Amino acid sequence: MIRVALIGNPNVGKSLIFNNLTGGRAHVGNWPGKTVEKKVGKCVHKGVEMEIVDLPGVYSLTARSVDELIARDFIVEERPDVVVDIVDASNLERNLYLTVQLIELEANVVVALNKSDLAADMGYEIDVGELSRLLGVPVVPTVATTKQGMEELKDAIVKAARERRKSPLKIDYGKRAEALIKRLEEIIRKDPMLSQRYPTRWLAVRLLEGDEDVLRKVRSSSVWPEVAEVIG
Amino acid sequence: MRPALDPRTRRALAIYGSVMGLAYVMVGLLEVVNAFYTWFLRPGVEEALIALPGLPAGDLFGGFSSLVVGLVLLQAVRLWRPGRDEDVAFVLVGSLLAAAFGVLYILVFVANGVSVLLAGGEELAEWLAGGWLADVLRPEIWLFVLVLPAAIASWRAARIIVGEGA
Amino acid sequence: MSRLRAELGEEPEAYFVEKRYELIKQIVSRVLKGRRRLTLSDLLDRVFLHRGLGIPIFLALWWALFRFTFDVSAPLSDAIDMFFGWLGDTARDGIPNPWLASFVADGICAGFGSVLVFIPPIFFLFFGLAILEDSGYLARAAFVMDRALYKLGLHGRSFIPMLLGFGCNIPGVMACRTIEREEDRILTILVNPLMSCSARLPVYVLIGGAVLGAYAAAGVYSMYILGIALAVCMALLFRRVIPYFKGRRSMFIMELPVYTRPTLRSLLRHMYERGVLFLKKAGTIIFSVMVIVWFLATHPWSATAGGELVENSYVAMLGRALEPLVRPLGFDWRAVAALFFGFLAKEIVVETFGILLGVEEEALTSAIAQIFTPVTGLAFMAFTLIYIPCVATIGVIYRETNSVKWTVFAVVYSLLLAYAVAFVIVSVGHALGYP
Repeated sequence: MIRVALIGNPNVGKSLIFNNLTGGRAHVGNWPGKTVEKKVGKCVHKGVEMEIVDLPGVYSLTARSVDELIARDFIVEERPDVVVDIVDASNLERNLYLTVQLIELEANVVVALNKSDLAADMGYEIDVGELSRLLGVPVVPTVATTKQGMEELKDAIVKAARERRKSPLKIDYGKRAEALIKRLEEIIRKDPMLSQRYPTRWLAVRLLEGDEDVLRKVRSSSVWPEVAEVIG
Repeated sequence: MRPALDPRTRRALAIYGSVMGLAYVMVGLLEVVNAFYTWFLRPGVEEALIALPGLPAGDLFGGFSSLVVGLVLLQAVRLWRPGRDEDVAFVLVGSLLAAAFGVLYILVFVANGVSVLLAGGEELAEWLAGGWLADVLRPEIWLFVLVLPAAIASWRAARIIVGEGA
Repeated sequence: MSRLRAELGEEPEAYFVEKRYELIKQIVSRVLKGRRRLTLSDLLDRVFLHRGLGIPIFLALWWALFRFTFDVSAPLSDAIDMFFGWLGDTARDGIPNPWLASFVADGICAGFGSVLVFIPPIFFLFFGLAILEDSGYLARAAFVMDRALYKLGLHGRSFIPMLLGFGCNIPGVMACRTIEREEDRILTILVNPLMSCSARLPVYVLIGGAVLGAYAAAGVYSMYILGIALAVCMALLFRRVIPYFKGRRSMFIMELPVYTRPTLRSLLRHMYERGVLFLKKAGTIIFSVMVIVWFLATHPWSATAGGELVENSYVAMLGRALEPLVRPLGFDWRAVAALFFGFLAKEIVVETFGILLGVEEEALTSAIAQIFTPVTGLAFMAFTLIYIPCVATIGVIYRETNSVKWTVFAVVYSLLLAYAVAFVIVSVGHALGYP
């Protein structure tokens, strides 16, 4: 059975896609210790069983709100086999921010390019192949309201779970920042508690950004003094 | 290709819009000056500094608002030369704002009338003698009436640009 | 962190966010073809979201809302006022039993009257707000004010609650629910009461009209500006001084809805929903408080000779007991009694003065001029602006923050701030040679 997480900005059609995939049957509860709703459903596609978790709608994966922390913790700690990022084709730039962060988190991402019909109506034309190539992850155009693209999406999920490719996309943060990142990565690798649990580059970047949740996680590590020296 | 505006329409809107804009700016300035005078420089003086019929003596924020309406309408000058058709929006929004204040001051006139009717006696007599005229002659009401053609024209132009018909 | 800022040339977080967007822009430029078709909303936004004109446009429209709320609704308020005045007089003359007569006339009619007189402005305000909201403009206003608010330490989403606060702090505080981050929400709730609600206006008009003479208009407006200025200062101060509030504000992302023509039905519905909420919450409290004030002002019955000699009533005793506290501010026992009851509902302040000075509406102004000087009058207006939000607001604050600690803090800081500001006004006034 493969574990799939659904994520995306608010109002991109995530619930609709969740329903399309799971046939509308879902087990509804709460995320542990929180008042945010958690939906889990099942789907069987060409003999493969999938468990689908609906993550809260978020614009990014910082530590700022309860929703973002829930989504981020799930991806980092539970390590789902596939993360489906639902992107609103009519609002590409803002939606891709989350995608890029997911890739930095080294999640196994499949992008569902939803509302393709709306984008076309608005006069846009999106080169799906090129987008997939540049991001380094599979991109599947979908129209959730008419269930277009659902079969292709399920195919892509199964394929991604099997292949487990990591996107080669890397953001170049500039010479100075990259030097700092490299130093931090070296320090982090010294502590297997950290380097085996979290992607090192992601950790380094978040430390430099002052992410409160990450800082808390690293403070209890043995290498904290060295880290503190680098980030100042 | 996006449907474009006829250059003659652009120029017509440019002239009409900026003339009205200038009018609003002038009215706004006069009102602001009056307010400064009555509030801060010579409070208690009955006469306004600039005593034109209908021009309020102590309406600072009203004056400021008319200034804003004027500044928006003045942007119509951008339509004089070929450029972005979207700039008709300045005339459209300017007239919307002018409408908001025009209607507002009409309502205020009516409300004042009802108030004095209720109060009766001295207040009513005073208002009927001359107060009502000041309320009804408020410049922004009449400027709004003058702006209406520009409103309609810019609305039509906007629909053309958006492609919803002539 | 400051060393990092020096290395990277700006705040680390902003730096990384920017770099990500740079990459995204590159990707999008290579992947996205065709231009978005222009919509009417885009056209309108060219002006409403304009860098220079956006905020002035909002300020102008806000002023229009204000005028609409107070001046256009005035005849309705007058009518209600007159009706209850007439009703009270008829009751007083018609009912033989003096106690009952006083209860009905001065207690119930005055009580009902003072609440109902506020219905027109409140409903007009909500109607006007509904126009701005349903048309889609309010979202643009919030967007445009966000940059300014951010610099002032507040969140873009604080904007609408603050705007509502000018009508009544209760819906203002409740509207803070839309602010996601707990810390931002509580901060906005704490400064919301500084938005001068409509209940305080009669106090300004009364005192200002009585002692400020020709400067009355300027005096009244200055209270609103003082409130805004203090809200900004307090927000900045709290952020700097109280550790709980430190930290970054969440990004303000807002979907801008399409501009639509509001329908009369939906406008009326919104107006009704919000107005009724206010009425229920405030109406019961204000009414019961009025009855209490009536009781305290007319008893002990014999001592006050049936409500005539207010100086002998419980209210007077209360006022005189509290007077030492406010003497440095130049307030007398009547003022502090009015303030005390104003705590229960700000509308009561004017009524209380009326009762304590034993005069009718028309003579109230000259009576006020006897107990206040321009300086102390101004100080009193400021005190009214700042001190403890009314009981109903306190109740809502408690419900929205879910914390006794913050509610108590709100009450205490507003009292202290009010006293401090009033004191400063009086001191400066005296220093400049005014009585």
